[in-house]
Amino acid sequence: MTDLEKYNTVFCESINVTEGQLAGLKYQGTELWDSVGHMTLIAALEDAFDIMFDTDDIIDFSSYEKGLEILKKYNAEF
Amino acid sequence: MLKGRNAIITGARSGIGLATVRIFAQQGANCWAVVHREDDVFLDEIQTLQEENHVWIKPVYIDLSESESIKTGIKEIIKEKQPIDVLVNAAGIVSPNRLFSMTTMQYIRKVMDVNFFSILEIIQLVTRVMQRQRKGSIINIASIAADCEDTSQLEYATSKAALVCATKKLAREFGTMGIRVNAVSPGLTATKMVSEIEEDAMAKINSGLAMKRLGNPEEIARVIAFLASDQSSFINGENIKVDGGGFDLRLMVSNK
Repeated sequence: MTDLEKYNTVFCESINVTEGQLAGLKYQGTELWDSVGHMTLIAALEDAFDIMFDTDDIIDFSSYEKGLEILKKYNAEF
Repeated sequence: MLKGRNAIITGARSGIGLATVRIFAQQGANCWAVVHREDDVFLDEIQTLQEENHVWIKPVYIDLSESESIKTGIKEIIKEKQPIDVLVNAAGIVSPNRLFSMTTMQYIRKVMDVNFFSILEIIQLVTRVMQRQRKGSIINIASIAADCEDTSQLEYATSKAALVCATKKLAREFGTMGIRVNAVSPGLTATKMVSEIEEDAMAKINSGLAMKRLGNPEEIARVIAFLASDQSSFINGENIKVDGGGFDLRLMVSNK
C-alpha cells in the first residue's frame, strides 16, 4: 500500500467519508470532522505512519490537502 | 488497586512524588519516574522498590523548565508503545515566603513555567495516548495555597489556582473520552521543602493545624492512588484537599 492509499484509507475510516469526497475537504466541512473527529483522525494517522505530530501541526491540519503537506515533513511520500 | 497499571509520575525524586512511586509500586503499578537529573541514591531506591514489588520503574530525565526537554522525554515514553494508564503531575517548585512587591517577574514566570505550563504540555502529549486507549487517569498535585487566603507566595498560589481551574476544564474536555482529571491539594506536608522552615516558625504552624501535625507524603500518595484506581471511576474534575482539616492562617509564619 502506498502512503497516499494509506492516508486516504485512514481519512475515510476516521471521519466516515468516501474517497470521492476527499479532495477539497476542510476541517469542520463534514459532520464527523469536528474537534473530536480531528483528534481521532490524528491518532489514526499517527498509528498508520508510526509518527507523533507536533501540536502546531495538529492545529495547522485544516484540510485534506494541508494534511498531505504536513505528512511530508514526517517523511511520507506522496 | 493498581496491579499491572503503568503510570508516569513527575517529581519522583522526593516528597509526594517519591511517596507516590512507593505506594504505586506496592500496589503493583509500573512507573516511569520523571526526575530532573540522574542520582545514585534515587536509582538505588527504585531498584529496591522494583525487586520488592516485582514491577518496573524507569527513570526519565526531564527539565520541566524546558519545553524541548519535556517533549523529548515524554515522546521517549510514548515511543515504548505501552499503555499509559495514569499520569501524576507531582513536580513543582515552592516559592520563598515573600511579598509580591519583593518578587521579580522573571521568578514569577519561572514558577508558572514549572508549576503550570509544563504540566499542560505533559498533559497535551500524554492525552494523545490516553485518547486512543479511551481511558486514563490524570492527577495534578495542587495545594491549599490555591485558596489564596494569605499574603506572600503570589506566584506559587497563582500557579496552583490555575492548575485547579485547568483540572476542571480538562475533566470536561476529556471526560467524554474516558479520561478522568482530578487534583489533590495537600496541606502542609513533611517534605524537604517544609523541613527548611525554622523550628520556632514550625512550632507556630503546628499550633494552628487542626490535627496539630503535618501530613506525611504517604498520606497524600494514598489519595493519589485512589484517584488513579477504578475505585474512583466516577470522580472527575474534583480537587480533593488532604490537609487534616486545615489551619488558622493567622498563626502562620510572618512575611520576611
